[in-house]
Amino acid sequence: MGSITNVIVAANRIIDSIIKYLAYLAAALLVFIAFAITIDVLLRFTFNYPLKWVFEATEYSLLIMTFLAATWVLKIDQHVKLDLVLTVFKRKTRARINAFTSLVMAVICLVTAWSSANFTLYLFQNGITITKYYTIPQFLIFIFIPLGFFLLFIQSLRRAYNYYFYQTADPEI
Amino acid sequence: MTWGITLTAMLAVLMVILLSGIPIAFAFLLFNLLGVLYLMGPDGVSQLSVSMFSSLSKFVIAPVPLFIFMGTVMFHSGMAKRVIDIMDGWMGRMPGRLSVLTLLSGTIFSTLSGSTIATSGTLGKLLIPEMQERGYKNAMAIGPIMGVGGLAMVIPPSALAVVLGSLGKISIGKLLIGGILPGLLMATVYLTYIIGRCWLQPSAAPSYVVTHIPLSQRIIHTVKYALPLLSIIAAVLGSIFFGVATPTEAAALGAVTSLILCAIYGKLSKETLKKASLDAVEITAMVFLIIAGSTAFSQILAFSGVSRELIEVITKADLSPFLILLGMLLTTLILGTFMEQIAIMMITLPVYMPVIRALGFDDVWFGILMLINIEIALTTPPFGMICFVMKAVCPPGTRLTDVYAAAIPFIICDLITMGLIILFPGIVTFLPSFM
Repeated sequence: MGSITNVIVAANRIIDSIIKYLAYLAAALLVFIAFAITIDVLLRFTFNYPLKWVFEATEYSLLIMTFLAATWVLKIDQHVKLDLVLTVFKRKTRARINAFTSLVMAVICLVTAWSSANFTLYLFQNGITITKYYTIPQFLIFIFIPLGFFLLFIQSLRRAYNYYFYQTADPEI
Repeated sequence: MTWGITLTAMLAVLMVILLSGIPIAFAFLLFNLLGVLYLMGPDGVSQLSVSMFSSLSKFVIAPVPLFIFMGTVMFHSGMAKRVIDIMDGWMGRMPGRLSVLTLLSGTIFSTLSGSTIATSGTLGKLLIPEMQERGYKNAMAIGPIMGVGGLAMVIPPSALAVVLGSLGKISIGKLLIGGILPGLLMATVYLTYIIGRCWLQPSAAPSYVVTHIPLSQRIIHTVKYALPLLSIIAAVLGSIFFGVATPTEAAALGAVTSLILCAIYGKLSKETLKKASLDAVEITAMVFLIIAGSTAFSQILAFSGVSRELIEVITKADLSPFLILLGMLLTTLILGTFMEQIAIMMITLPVYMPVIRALGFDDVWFGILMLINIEIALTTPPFGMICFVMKAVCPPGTRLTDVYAAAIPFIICDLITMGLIILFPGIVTFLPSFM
C-alpha cells in the first residue's frame, strides 16, 4: 500500500510541476510577443524594415499561451464561475455538486482532447499547412489544443477528487 | 415560431449549465458540444477544435493580454500605487476624498482585470475597511467601488472593450477611442454626485486630518512619477487615434515602455517581471478560454436558423428602431442579474450585432452603450452579481439592503450617462470620426 501511495504522491508532484512550468512558459511567451511587436514597430518606423514573422507569431502565441496556462488557472481555481445558486447549499452539499460538475468537465475535456488529437493527426498525415507570410504545418500549432485539454482533463479529475474528499478545489490554495 | 422554441430551449439549457457552478468557459464548451451533437452528429465534434483555433489565433485580440500586462507591470512595481498617492496629495480637503480616490484607483486597477466582478471583490476587501474606519457611510464607501467597474470598462485602455469589439466584430481602435468622452462624462457625473452629496451631507464622508505635503514636493513627485506613467497611456491612445499603430501594436508598446519605466525607477526585479507576466497570463487564459467557444457558439446559433429568423422577425416588425434598441438593452439588463460580463457578450452580440447593423445604428456607439449597460446590469438590485460580491466582502453586519442603497445612486449616474449618449451619439462618435 505504502509504495502505491508514494507513486501517487510522486505523480501528483510531477503533474503540479508540469502545470506550473507550462504557465511560466505562457508568461514568457507573453513577454516575448510584447517585445517582438515593439521591435517590429520600431524597425518599421526607423528603417522601414518590418519583421514579417511577428504578425503570425503573435496570432499563434495567443492560442498557445491560452492552452499552456489554462490548466494552471483551473488548479488555482481562477476560472470565473457563477456559484450564486450553489451558495444556498451547505458546504458539504456544495462540494458534492462541485465534485460532480468537475467530473462533467473531465468528460468535456476528454472528448475535446480526443477529437482535437484526431484532427491534429489528420492535419499531420495530410501535410496540411497554413499560408500567411510563411507556410507552416498546421499541426504544429493545433497540437496545443489536445495537449491543453488533456491536462485540463487530468486537472478536472483531481478537482473532483479534491472536492469530494477535501471540500475544496485544491487543498493547497 | 419553431425558432422561438429552439432559442428558448437553447438559452434554457445554457442557463442551467451556467448556474450549476461549472466555470463559464467549460459551460460554453458543454453547450457547444451538445449543440454540435444535436445539429451535426458526432462528425461535427472535431469542428469544435477548428473553431477554437480560429477564435483564438486572431491578431485583433492581442491587446487583451498586452493591456493587462501593462497594468500588472504598473501594479506589481508599485508605480500605480505611487500615482494614486500623488493624486491623494493633490486632493487636500476635498469632500469625500477617499471615495474620489477609490474612483481613481479603481480605474487604474480595473485595467488589470478581465472581469469587473473580480475587481469589485478585491477593491472592496482593500478599501472598505479604511473608509469605514474613517466613518464613511455605506453610500460613500461601497457605492464608488460598485460604480468604478463601469468606468473601467469604458475608459481606455480597457481589455473588456477589446473583447467586446472582437466578439461583436466592431473596430477595436474606434471602440477604444470612442470610450474616451463617455468615460470622462461618466467620471464627471460620478464626481458631481460624490462631491455634491458630501457637501450637502458632510456626515456621509467625515473629513479627517490630512498630512500636509509641501507644494514643491507635490510638483516634483508629479513630474517624476505621475507624468511619465500617464504619458504612456496617452501615447498608447494617441498612436491608435492618429493611426500610427494598430491597437495591438499600441498595447505592446505600452507594455514594453512600462517595463522600461519600471527599470528606470529601479523597480524591475526578476520577481516583479515574474508576478506581472504570470498575473497577466492568468487573466488572459481565463478570458480566452471563454472566447475559445465564441465562434462555435455563434455558428450553432446560425446553423440552427435562430439568428436569421430573429433578425427577419425584428426587421420586418413594425417597431421603431429605438424600441428595438431599448428591448436589447433591457434583455441585457436581465441577463446581467445572474451572469458574468463576457458570458453576456457571448450570448447577446452574435444576435444583436446583425440587427443593429440592419437597423442602421452606429456599431461603435452601440458597443459603448452595451459596455455601460452590462455594468448597470451587474450592479442592479436585487440580483446583480456585484451586489452579492460586495455583500460578501463587506465587514459583518452590512446588510444586502445597505449594498442596494449604495448602488442605486451610481446606477442613476450610469443611466444619466447612457441617456445622454443615446440623445447625443456624438459623445461616442465624435472622436472616432477623425480616425
